Amino acid sequence: MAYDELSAEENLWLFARLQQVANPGERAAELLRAVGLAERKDSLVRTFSRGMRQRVAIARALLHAPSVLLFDEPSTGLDPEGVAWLAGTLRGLRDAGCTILMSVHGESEIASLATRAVRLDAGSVAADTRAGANLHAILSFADA
Amino acid sequence: MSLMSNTSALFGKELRTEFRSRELLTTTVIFILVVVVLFSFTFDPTATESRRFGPGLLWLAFLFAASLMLQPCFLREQGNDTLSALRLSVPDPFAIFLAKLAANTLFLLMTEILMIPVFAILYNVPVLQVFPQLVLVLFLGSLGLGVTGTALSAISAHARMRELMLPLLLLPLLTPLLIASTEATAALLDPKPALRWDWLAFLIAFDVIFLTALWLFGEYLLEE
Repeated sequence: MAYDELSAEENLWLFARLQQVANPGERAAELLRAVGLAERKDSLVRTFSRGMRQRVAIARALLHAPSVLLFDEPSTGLDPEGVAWLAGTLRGLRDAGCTILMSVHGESEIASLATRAVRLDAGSVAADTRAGANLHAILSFADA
Repeated sequence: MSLMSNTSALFGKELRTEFRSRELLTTTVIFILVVVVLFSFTFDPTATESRRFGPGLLWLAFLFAASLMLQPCFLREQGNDTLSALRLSVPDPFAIFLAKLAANTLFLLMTEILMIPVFAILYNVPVLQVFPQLVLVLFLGSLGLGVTGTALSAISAHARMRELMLPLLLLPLLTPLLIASTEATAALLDPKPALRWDWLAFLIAFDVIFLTALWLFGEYLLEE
């Protein structure tokens, strides 16, 4: 969810302005540092790897410091270093009180951050930790 | 306030994107140039003939060039799903349309103004003395093309046969605009040039009606 012909900084600045974030330039720079792209802030997004694009997209999602975040397979395309960075970022957000709802397939560093897990099967809830199911079993697709 | 601020931010994005890729401007300039040059060599027109069919030829070229230019307008937003990001960030979707409309009209007008001297030289039609009036007609015509084209581009971007859909919807809808623009241009290229206010009023009315419709119903056009 970023424009290929804009730089990472321009992308964040644009969305910060649209979301009426105070000091959009400063916020964009702060988030680019946080996602480890400060050195590539002037590079066009089209020159980025998939993992770097993912970082820009996550930075964009965090622009207005949301209290609820929705992620669909957030670690897709990320290298191991990227996954570790994402896990750290999500852990920080979770601990700061942000609600994170994400869809994942199987166990991973990201999935292990979950405080509650629900397994869906054909659109119905097949297992839920709140109903006593085991978190590890849900994430590993074992019999919960 | 938020509408104007969002529109200006998005308009800046449209300009930056286009001036970096030069995708739309290059396509339209080359298309119009090919049409104007080809017709000039095929018919070897005199000044009298040029005044008779020149305006129609010009506006037909502008219309087809506009449909080429408007096609990727919303398709570009689908590649990285940036339209969803915009919808989540912009409270009034009219800002998205307004920015795209302003950018499309500007690109189209730039192309037309660039092509007018080529037309004047190849078809032996003096345009210098009526140039400001001609720019006014070009602006009103381009705005009409831009408003309808931007709206229909949003519709066709979701359609299955999207490449076919835009020209199919655009061409019949723009017939009145094309007639008014051609008539107003023909009156300006006449040996006794005149600014036809009746056709200008028609163009203004067309632009206002479609702009109002876009403002009222634009939100629904972005729904999948």
